[in-house]
Amino acid sequence: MDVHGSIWKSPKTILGTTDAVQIGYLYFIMAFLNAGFSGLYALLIRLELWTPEASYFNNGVEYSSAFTLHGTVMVFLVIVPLGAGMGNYLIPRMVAAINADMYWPKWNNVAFWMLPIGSIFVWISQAPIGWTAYAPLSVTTGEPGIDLWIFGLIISGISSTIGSINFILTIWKGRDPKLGWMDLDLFVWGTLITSILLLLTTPSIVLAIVMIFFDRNLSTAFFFNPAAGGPTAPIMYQHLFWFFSHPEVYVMVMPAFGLISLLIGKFARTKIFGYQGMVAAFIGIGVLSFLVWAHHMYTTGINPLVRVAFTTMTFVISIPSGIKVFNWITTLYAGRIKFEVPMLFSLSFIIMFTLGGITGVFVNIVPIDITLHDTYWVVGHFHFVVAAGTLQAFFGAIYYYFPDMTGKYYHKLTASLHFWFWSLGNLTTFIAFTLLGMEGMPRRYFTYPEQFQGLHQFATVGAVLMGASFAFFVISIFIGYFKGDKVEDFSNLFGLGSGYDFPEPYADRIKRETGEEIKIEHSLSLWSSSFGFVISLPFFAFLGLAETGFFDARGIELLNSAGDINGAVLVSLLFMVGFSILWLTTLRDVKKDERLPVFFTVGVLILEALIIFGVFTDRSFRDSWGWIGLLLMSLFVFWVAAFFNAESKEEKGPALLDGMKKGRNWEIWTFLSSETIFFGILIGVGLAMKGQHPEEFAEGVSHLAIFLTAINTFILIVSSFTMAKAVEAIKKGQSEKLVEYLRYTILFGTIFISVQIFEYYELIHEGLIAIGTQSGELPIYSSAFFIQTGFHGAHVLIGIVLLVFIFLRARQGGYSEKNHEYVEFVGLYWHFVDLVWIVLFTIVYLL
Amino acid sequence: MSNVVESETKELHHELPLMQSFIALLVITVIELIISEIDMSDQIATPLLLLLTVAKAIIVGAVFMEIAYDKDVKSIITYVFIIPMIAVSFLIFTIIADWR
Repeated sequence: MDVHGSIWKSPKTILGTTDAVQIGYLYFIMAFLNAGFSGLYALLIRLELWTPEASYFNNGVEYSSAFTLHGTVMVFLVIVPLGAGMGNYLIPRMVAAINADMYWPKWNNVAFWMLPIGSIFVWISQAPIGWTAYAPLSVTTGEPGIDLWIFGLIISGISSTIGSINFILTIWKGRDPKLGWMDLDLFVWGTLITSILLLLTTPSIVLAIVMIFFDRNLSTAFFFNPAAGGPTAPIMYQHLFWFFSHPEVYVMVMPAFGLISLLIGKFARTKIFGYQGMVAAFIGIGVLSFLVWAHHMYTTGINPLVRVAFTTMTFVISIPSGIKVFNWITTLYAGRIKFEVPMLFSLSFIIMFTLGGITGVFVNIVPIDITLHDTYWVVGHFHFVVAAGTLQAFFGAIYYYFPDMTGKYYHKLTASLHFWFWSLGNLTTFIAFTLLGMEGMPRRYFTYPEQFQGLHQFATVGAVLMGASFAFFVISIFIGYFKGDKVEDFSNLFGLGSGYDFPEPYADRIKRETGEEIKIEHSLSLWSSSFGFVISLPFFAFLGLAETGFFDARGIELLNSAGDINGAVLVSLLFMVGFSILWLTTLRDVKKDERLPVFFTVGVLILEALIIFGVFTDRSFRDSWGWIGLLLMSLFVFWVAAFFNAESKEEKGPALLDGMKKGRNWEIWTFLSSETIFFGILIGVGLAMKGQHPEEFAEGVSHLAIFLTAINTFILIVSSFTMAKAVEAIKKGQSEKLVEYLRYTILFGTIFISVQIFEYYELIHEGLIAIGTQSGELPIYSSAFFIQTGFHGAHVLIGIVLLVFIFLRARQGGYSEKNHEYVEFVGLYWHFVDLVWIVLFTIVYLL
Repeated sequence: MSNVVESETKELHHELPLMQSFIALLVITVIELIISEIDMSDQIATPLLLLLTVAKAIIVGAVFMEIAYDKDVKSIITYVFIIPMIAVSFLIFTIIADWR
């Protein structure tokens, strides 16, 4: 049955696969590796709590790191990737995807390979701030690993966003047209809602933790700044955090709902009861999950009116949650249950999830929440939902699909032991947690009064059972994979009498429907995985070098001993290096008169990197050489990988987004909806800050160069005009005009960004509106100004890079009247960036 | 097997009023600059500037992004702008109401 071949042929196939099934396997491996290590941390935490005395960890900071990593990894790097892995494995087949794969196979690879990178960042961070990273603790704590933790989550967030867009498009635009919405499996619905939630909420957490990073490193004043009088708006962080993190609960659990619905239907040997009601419940939960986040903040002294609104909405969301449970129970009642391991996990899921739901209802009642908040009750509640609930669904699904994946049976005895140890361990530990919470034991303490010892030891015994259970899981899978009995008859795998039970492979379906035998070939794309590495490398290098004190001590010493390098000389050298890379990789085939725009753009990009890090860190150019070297190295890898991996010889020029289909531009519209959220929050937060500090903002605006910025706005509008002309030209098949207009667009975009850098330089040296070590006299205004205009500038830069790509390809005749969708995509992105600036210009400069 | 599948296409080939839009954007930007420079009450200037900004955004969206010429215009506006902005508004109003 394995039509996908082995992924383990070579490192190239592992790195470059674009086959959704194989990428699904990679997600499973990555998620379970993370789960194993994270579980070990949980065991260490429980061992520490065996007695009230500090026996294992040296101090509270080490203990805090342990529970921070356990929580962060389980949420972001285990449960979410498991959903993505299962989605990759099942969705293209479940929706009979018209290319037998995900909508964007290459970007699917990019999304996966960002996950291990994000995981490494998080693991080595050892951040001791809790998975919530509340300000001001996360701002004032000196532990350097917090920055790594932030970048790890940003990289994972980008990965989830790319993955979400891919799932939405696969289900929405990639499915077989014969398949109606109400024909879809509930797992497909669960993944769709999950993806929409991730797409719309991830910008909020990314902005929140970026603000933390800026407060820590660039002396901004979003949440805490001594120059601004200490705490500024720490509760704003909680709103931004929970706006993402409450829907994140449903992101984790929705795919599990889908899988459980599937498994219960299969093993009860009947259709799931109330399919349409279940779909409505999924959608209802998805919508309502945006309206309940502040129930995590009842004890912060939240405005009572706000509190009432959120309490009400939280009670409302329990209705669709209840509908699902009742439907599952009714399905069981109507069916003939077969008790195989996947079904045992499913039944246990219903019990554990219900326990989690009921314990959650209590903490929505404000007087009770005030008592139970931050106690072990809450820990028990979310572990019932996530560990006991969601993980059970994934375990059940993996056992169910194991024969489909491998053609062999899992090892049944160890699988049964896995189930019983897991369920008993769950009940033991999490019931002990809820009892501890009722007794008043606060969470996140590594010691406690002796009266709690019995329950703590009870919980630890349960944790050991869970640890043993996970070992049984691994053994069962390994024995099954290497020595398992081969499946002889797929039509009666679990004795359910329902025939072949798995989603039909694409090739089989085509053969059945048309009689045609087709061979599916998935391309290898090292470019995709390189992209993930490349965009992470500069962060990693910069943080790594900075946090080992390289820039502060040894690096300076080395540079001093090498003599004083003049900044201008260094800039010239870097220009030459950048140009050489471009020459070697692209420009040698380009006519002389066409080289200037590309050369100019790259030069400005390098200059900008120099200036930003030179100015913001108050260090001269020479102090940033390590970071700059790595930046150049990553650019080099990026370009080489892009060219090395052109999908076919017919393709001309660098292929950035090949393999995608045209679906009325919905690909880019989906991405832009996430960008609207991102900039909407950015602008909204700026307005909220302005509302609280009107005098500081009035003072700040009076120092801005309005006229210069108006001219710059005009320049960006001109670039938008030339971009529109470029799209118009290629639609008429005028390739030469396309090249010409693209060149102008790049030029105007580069001028815009250069003027903005000049403005920054002037403001920072004036000292009034400044961030970085040269903290300005208007810290709150400066924070809002730089984050709003800075993020927009970053988007312009990304746009310039994309424009250079299509310019180079257009130069080689890579677009035509019929094949120009990528030009349209970049065009839409560029216009959107222009549109955002139009709003920012008024709000930041004119009002 | 090729991944590139020709599907729905929207090549309606309208002649876009690009130059007119460009000039309109330029003129509005100049008007905005004038409003910000002259001595005008905030109560008048602020809504006026916001109105002009909305007008510019609509021109860019409708003409340059060709939303006005797409047969799914309502879907695009709902999906890309209205739904995200409703979510953002809810968050930002809560932040403002509970500013601490």
